[in-house]
Amino acid sequence: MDALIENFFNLRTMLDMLPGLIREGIRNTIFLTVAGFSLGLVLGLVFALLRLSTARPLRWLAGTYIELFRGLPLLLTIVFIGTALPIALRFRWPNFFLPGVLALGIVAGAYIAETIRAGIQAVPRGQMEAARSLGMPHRLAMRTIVLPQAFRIIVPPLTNELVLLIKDTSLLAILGTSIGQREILKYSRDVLGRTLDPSALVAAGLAYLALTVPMTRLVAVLERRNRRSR
Amino acid sequence: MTFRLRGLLALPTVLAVLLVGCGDGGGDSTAPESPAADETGATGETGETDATGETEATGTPDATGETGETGETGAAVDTVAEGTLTVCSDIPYAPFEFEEGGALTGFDIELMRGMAEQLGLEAEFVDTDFDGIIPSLLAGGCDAIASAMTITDERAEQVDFSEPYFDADQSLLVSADDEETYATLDALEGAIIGVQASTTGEAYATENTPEGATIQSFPDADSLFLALEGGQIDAILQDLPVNGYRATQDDSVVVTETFETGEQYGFAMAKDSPLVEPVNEALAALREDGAYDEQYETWFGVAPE
Repeated sequence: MDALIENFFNLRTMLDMLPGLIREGIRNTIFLTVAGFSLGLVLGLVFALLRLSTARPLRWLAGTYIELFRGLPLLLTIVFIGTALPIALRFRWPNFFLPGVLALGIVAGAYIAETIRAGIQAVPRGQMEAARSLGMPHRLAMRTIVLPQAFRIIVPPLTNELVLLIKDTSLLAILGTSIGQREILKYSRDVLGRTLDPSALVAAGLAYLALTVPMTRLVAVLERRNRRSR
Repeated sequence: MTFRLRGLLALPTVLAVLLVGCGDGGGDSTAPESPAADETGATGETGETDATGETEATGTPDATGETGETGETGAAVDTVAEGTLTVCSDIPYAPFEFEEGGALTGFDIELMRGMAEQLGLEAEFVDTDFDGIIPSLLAGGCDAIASAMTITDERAEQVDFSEPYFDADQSLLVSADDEETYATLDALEGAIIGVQASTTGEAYATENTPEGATIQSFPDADSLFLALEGGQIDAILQDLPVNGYRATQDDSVVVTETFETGEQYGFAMAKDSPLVEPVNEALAALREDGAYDEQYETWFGVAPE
C-alpha cells in the first residue's frame, strides 16, 4: 500500500510538475481541442448539408470524406498530414500545431458530419414543409427553422465528440514537440522520463479527468433537459 | 520475430506449464509435475522456443536453484518468462536494433542473442518506446534493456548497468544540401534541431544549442529521420553510430560534426538483479571468443579499438 502511494501519488513530483502541467500541458491540450473542434464543426456542417443535398456528386463527395476519415486510424491521418505530405510536396509546416489541428479537425469533421446529418433528419419533416408552404426559400428554412432544432438535438453527441477530441490530442506528439508546445501526456511523459516517477502519469490522468468529467456531466444534464422538454 | 503485448507476460509461462501437462501422459495431466523438479533439465535443451515464441520447454531451474554458476551448461537464473531472456528495446534504432527481412537484427540484438545463449536462454525482444523503457523494466516487463542506452548516474540510480559494451559519441546529421550551411552545431542559429525524447542527445542539445535554435523532441529515431527527410527539422542530434549508419544507407544526409562525450552504452537490469553478474560474464565470454569483434565489424565497419 505504501509502495502504491509512493509510486502513484508522490505529492512532491506532482506538485513540482503542476505549474508546468497547467501552463503548458493543459493549456495546449485545450488549445488543440478547441481549434480542432472548431474546424471539425465547420467541416461537419458543410459535409452534413452536402450529404443531404439533392445533387448526387455532392452526396458522393460527402460520403467519401466521411467514410475515409471515419475508417482510418487517427494516428495514420496525423502522420500522413504532418510527415508524409511535406515529404511529397516539399514544404515545411510553420509549426507543430497546424498539421495537428488540421488532422484533428478533418477527422472530427467526419464524425460530426454524421452526427449533424442525423440531427437534421431527426427534425420532423413537417417543420420544413410548413416553412416552405409559408413561402420561405429552402435555404432560409434550413437555416432558421431546421438547423436550430437539429443543433438542440445534437448537443449531447457533439459534446461526446469534444471529449473524444480532448483525449485524441495526446496522439499529436508523434509529430515532434518543442518545449512550450507539449500537451498533457507528452509533458507528463517527459517528467516520467526525467524522474522515473509514475506519479507523473497519474497527474496526467487527473488533468484529463479534470477536463473530461465536467463535459460528460454536462452531457448528462443536457440530455435530461432535452427529455423533459419533449 | 513476433512483437507481443507484454501485458500478457504471464501467458507464455502458463502455456508452458499447460503444454508440459498435456505433453506427457495425455489424460491424467492435472497438476503437472513442477518443471523445476526435473533436475536433468538444466542442459542445452533448456528454453527451446517454437516459431511463435511460446515456451514449451521444461527444466528451467527455479529461483532456489544454485544461482551464480553460469556457463555453457545452463540457466541458473530466474527470468520473467521461463527459459527466455526477455529484452526491452526501442525498435527501430539502426544499427543497434532494427528489422531486416522480417527478422530483428543489429548490434544490440545479436549481442543479446549471444549472451542469452551463454546463459542457456532464448532471447526475446519487446519493442518499447525509449522514454518508457526504464519504467517498463522496473514493472517487470522484461529482464534487461538492450537499447543503445547510455550509462548515466541518473539512470544508475534506478537500474543496474552491465559493463559498458560500446563507446558512443554524439553527432549532428543534416541534409546533404545543407552540408555547408550547417557544418557545426553553432551554425544552427534559428534552426530546428530534432532529438529523441529522454535521450542523452536531447540533454546535449539542450545544453549546447545555439541561441534561437528550437529543439523538437520525437518519440523515436524513425520519426526523426522522416521529419528531416520532409524538411520539418534542419538537423538531428543523436548518437553517432545511429546517425553514421543512416548516412551510409542514405546519400541525402551527412554527418557534419561529432561531439566527444565519453558516453558508453550498457545493458540495464533492475537494481540488484541476479542477472547482472551472469550478463557481465556472458559479455566477457563474447569478447573473448571473438563474437563481439565480429558483430562490431559487421555493424560499424571497423574493428573495435
